[in-house]
Amino acid sequence: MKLYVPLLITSILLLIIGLGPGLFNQSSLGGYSWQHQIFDILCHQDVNRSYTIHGEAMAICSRCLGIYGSFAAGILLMPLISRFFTVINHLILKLILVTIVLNLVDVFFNALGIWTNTLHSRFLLGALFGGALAFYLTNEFFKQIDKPEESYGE
Amino acid sequence: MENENIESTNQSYWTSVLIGGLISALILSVLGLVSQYMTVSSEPVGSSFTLSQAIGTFACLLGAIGGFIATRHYAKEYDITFPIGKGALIGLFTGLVAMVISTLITLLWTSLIDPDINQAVYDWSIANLEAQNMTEDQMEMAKGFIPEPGISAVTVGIGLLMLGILNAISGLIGAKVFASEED
Repeated sequence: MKLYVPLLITSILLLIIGLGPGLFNQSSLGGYSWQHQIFDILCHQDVNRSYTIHGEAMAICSRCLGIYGSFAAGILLMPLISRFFTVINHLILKLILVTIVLNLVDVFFNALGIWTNTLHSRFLLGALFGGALAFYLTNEFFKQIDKPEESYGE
Repeated sequence: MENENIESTNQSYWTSVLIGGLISALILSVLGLVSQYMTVSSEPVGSSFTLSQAIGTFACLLGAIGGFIATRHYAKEYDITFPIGKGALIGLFTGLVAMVISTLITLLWTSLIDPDINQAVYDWSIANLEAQNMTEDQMEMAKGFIPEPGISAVTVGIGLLMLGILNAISGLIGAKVFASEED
């Protein structure tokens, strides 16, 4: 549980930096701002494949925005998720694998020209992966009590 | 198996950290160097994204799974469970080790095998910047963010920070997958 707050702060910080210079009303300097420099080794930062804020490209592409955004949102919403949903780890783990495969298929099929993905489709697929990762960690920070049905009222 | 499902207490995780770090560093270095050669052999047309950058990115995403590899190795080697906090710590160290080893490999390559590659990449970046039709002020500011040829302390610092954070998160998830008491 003591790891929850550092993980929450880190994930939100990564997201804020990833939103890029436009968030701070700065120029993206053709992709050489300090936010772009920080994410340089983690994201291809293609301007044409990134959302913009105030006309300036974000420091991460739309797929990465989906990953970081939904991961941060998932960590933030963990207390609520644990309260209203039952997280079954082995199913979520399978969901994570499915989202990885979906993203890889999307990347390769787009590269091969079989289909053309869009800003929104890449964002959505990234968001599925990041959200599933956060969902998978819920039980670690907010324990859920699984009482068998026959023990109700005990 | 008398060790089955025991909690880790004093088993050293440094072997796992080194294995995870070494695998990540090799991937980072090899694909990173390939990316650099592809960059300098392409035309600087003002685009901030090239195929070589995509390969470089692929390398770094793979570099971030070092924490996952290290926690898996640690859990399987000793047949133990451990908390996700320990997984995050193992991942953090793995990221730092990966960046250090990767920097050393790059340093060796650029010192002994191809001393001109760093300057070529720097020149390409400047030419690419000039092809973007920016104002003089913006050009000067942008040039300040392009790392000087060679190993830059800022680049290494950012690499340590980002690979450390990402591998800590992948180590945390790795501990949950491979060393959790729940399943």
